[in-house]
Amino acid sequence: MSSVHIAELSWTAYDAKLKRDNPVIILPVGSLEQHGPHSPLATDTIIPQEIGIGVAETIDGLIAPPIAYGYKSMPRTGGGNHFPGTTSLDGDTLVRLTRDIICEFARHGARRLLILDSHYENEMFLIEGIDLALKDLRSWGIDDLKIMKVRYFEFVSEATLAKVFPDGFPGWPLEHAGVMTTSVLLHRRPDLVHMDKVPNQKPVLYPPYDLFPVDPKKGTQTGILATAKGATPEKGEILFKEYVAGISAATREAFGLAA
Amino acid sequence: MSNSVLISELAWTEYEKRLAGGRTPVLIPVGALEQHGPHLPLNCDTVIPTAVCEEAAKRIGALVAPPIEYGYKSQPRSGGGNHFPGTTSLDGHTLVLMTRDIIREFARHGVRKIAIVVGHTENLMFTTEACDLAIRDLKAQGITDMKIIHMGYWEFMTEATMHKVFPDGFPSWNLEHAGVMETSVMLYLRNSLVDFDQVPKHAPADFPPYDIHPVEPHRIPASGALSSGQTATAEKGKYMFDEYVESVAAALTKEFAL
Repeated sequence: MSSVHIAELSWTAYDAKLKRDNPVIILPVGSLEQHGPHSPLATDTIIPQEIGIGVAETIDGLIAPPIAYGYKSMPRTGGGNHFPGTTSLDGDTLVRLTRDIICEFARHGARRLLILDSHYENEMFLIEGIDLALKDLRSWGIDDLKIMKVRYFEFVSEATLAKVFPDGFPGWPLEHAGVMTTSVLLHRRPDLVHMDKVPNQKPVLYPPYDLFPVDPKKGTQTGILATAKGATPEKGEILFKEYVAGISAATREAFGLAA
Repeated sequence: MSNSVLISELAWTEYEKRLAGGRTPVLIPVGALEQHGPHLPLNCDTVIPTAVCEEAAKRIGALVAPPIEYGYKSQPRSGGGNHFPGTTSLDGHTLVLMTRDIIREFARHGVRKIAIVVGHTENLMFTTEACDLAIRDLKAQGITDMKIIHMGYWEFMTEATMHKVFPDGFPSWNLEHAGVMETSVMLYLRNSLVDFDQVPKHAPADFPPYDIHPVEPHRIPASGALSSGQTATAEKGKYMFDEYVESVAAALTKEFAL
């Protein structure tokens, strides 16, 4: 048995791999959230899973089943939590879910963990889950677990940004179901993308604050914040390869692994 | 009776009168007790949003609640990390519940317009969650007309001001921890609390695009500041502060239809 997927291993094969190699365990974290009329609800889960598999193969790591539900979509970064299909967790639920999974891997003997996040709204709840897990583990006498937390989209060079966004980069918050995620999906899962349904709209501008409750009549109506018209599988391949290579190299550096 | 905009200084009867049946907005500053380099006080992230709220409240006839003075854990890339002495932080859920409870209490008093004015980056998602939970709870109680504005005050800085205050280029909001903006505004607001001789002179912190847990202090400037506040002045501080007050007041006037 040689799968990088923990879920496909027997407990004995998994245990042997942990004891032999002290591998990096990769936990993808995404969401079930609308990504416009042209991309699937699981966009934010599929992409870190695909990248995670690439990284696991590169650094001889293992990949865990993803956290496939995320924190509530916010208007300025994900269109808002009022769309059908968007299925979100309370913050404390995501914190506990993350903490529990980390503590379980630590109990198995894992000491290197890479949390690969792709949903903008998750970040602070993952940080809190990590902090609480480390505190719990210390009280159990485990003080040598090291965790690296990555948002994959931060691993892109200026040169690639210029190539993918020749007319200027709108900024990560507006890239919800935009050129970047759509291109990566066209490269990895073209069967799930409907380019004929990409909305042709200008970037949606929001004021520098949030309103509660959300007024669905304001803000994006299609679910996207900037158009994905410029998305191509070629751009997706460039981005995907850069994510896998960049995250693999950083993971090696952070955990002191041989190249 | 007191003309104060501070709820804490009013008698309950005066407070009730000033709420005007729910037409008066209540502004809640949310800060932190967190190291801000050797030159700034621990309460920097509370002092600034509280002052913005007080000035904005005077202009639009609002009231200001006592600030939440403890925030979420300082993160290395935006606040230097939570390992410094003095930095005193809450678990995420504690901050969520505290903020939610305070919103629900004001709703019980009849308040229907609330602004959450955050001064500490790491708070934002937890105060967001508090707004969401409060609105949900209130709906279950049949209160459906509460409106909350949630903001980080620094997001109101205009491009023009940014060029004026940072002529050599803006480092990023995360690296602005105890940098030119906060030092300038504190010089203007609370000069006596700033020890300008102690402003670090080091280059901005250079972080990789990921976080390591537990924190590795050697990756973080020992001063606790993430960029230098050497070019800070009280004049710049006044300029930025006035702009914050004016834009926050304008946003509240618009959204609350005052």
